[in-house]
Amino acid sequence: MVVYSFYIFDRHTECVYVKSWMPAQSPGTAPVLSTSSDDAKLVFGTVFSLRNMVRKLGGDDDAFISYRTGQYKLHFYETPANLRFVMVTDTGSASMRNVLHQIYINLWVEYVVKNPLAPVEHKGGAGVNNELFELGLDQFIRGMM
Amino acid sequence: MSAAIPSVACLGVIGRNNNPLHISIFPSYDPAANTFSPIRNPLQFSLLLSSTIDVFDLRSKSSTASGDFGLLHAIDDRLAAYGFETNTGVRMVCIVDMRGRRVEAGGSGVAGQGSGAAGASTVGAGLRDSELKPVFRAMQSAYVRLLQNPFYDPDEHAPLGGKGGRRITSKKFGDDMKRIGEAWTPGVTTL
Amino acid sequence: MAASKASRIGEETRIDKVNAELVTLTYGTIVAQLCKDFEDDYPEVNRQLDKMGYNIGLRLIEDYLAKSNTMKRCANFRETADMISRVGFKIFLNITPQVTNWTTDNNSFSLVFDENPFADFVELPDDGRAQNELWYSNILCGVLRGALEMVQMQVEAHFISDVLKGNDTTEMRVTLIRYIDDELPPEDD
Repeated sequence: MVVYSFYIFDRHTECVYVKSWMPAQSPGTAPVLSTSSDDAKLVFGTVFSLRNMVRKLGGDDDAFISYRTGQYKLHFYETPANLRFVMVTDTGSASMRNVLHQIYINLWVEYVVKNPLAPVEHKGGAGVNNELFELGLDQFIRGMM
Repeated sequence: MSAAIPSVACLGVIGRNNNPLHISIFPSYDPAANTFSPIRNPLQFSLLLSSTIDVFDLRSKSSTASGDFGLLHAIDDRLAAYGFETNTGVRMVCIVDMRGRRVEAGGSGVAGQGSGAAGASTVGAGLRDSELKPVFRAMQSAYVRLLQNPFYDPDEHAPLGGKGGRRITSKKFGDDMKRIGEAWTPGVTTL
Repeated sequence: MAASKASRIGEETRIDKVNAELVTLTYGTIVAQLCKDFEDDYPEVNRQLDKMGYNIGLRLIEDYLAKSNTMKRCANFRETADMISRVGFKIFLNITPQVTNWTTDNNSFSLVFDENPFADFVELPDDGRAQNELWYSNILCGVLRGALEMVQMQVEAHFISDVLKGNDTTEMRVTLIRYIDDELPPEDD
């Protein structure tokens, strides 16, 4: 299993965290998504629309979990506080819903939310700059790969 | 016929800079008039409390670890002052009137109070220091509760040089003192 | 059904780490210091407490969601009230205030606190104003407001009685103002 990239969007639709695990690979293979801010906007637009569509079709309790293309699989997880976690992996990976939930509980809440000096809102694209979170996430993802 | 047993005549709390923090005065039984009235006036009690400070100072050099100073001095044949000092230097004084309360001789109210009632029959016979332990324990816990009130500022009550400090104005603390002073008789183990 | 489920969650997720008296004293010190800093301007102290609570609430909700593992949204405001009392207060303060006095439109309820760990030992200052003006536990209003805002509910919360003021009960009134819509990304030009 390969994880390509990971995004967190806050309730103001702002992208507060981006991380990419793309190895500096040969240019031929799928450069699924880069992490520039335009891509983040595109990703958000996609998952936001899909989530709304899913809810319209399947009712409010129905959750948009993932979609798959020929190149990659995108996993989506949203908390009740409208925090959205997005992970892009290779097409063969199983559901990452649980993984995203774990990231939320064990990393986001523990290291970011509970850090009293970290701001609650990350306005203006400042993003989360938290070493413990960064390290924890990297370890967690690499452990899965 | 009736007999007299000891009761609390006055409870005093003295701050660590020898400043007065609190004085509660309790009426004693007056057999002549068959009424209850304080045995001394407030100024006299204040003086008695002040005079205990010297004893505290004198004895604190060979202080007991428990903080219990026991009998500080017997003022006359009726009144005796007992003392207790916390580790933070706050002194608590209990002035006992040896004949402050009247009981009907042989009355059931006394029966359960064992040693206290027996000691009371001989006027002026000292109380054992341990009889006052519950009083000080209750006073100390009332004082701790007072300190836990966030609006009570201990610094205001411990002026340097002992002058100008404020007294305790807490109603709860006053009520506690009143309850302790009124409830205590020899033999009571919890207040 | 909802009530018993909520009780169970609240019971299971209780954690015990910090000494209660330390919390009580810390909170008391904050309030006393605010009173000092604002020179006994009690309405301002209430506002500051509410603000602090709001900032706590914004974070606390995440911890609540992570701990209680209730990832489902409440179906209605009545369920929300139940979860606040039996899970939220249970987890963080180990108390379960009663939820009562619903208005007929189900948009406003009261939380009645039988016990309030913040207010142990407290006697309000005896200056003739604090008794009327200071809401000692006002931080709780802010916490609720902040926490509920994060889950898309704009509420208004205030105390209407407090045992510290000589009332029989401590009661907080919570009113739902509106459900907040999802925010949309800013339009690209």
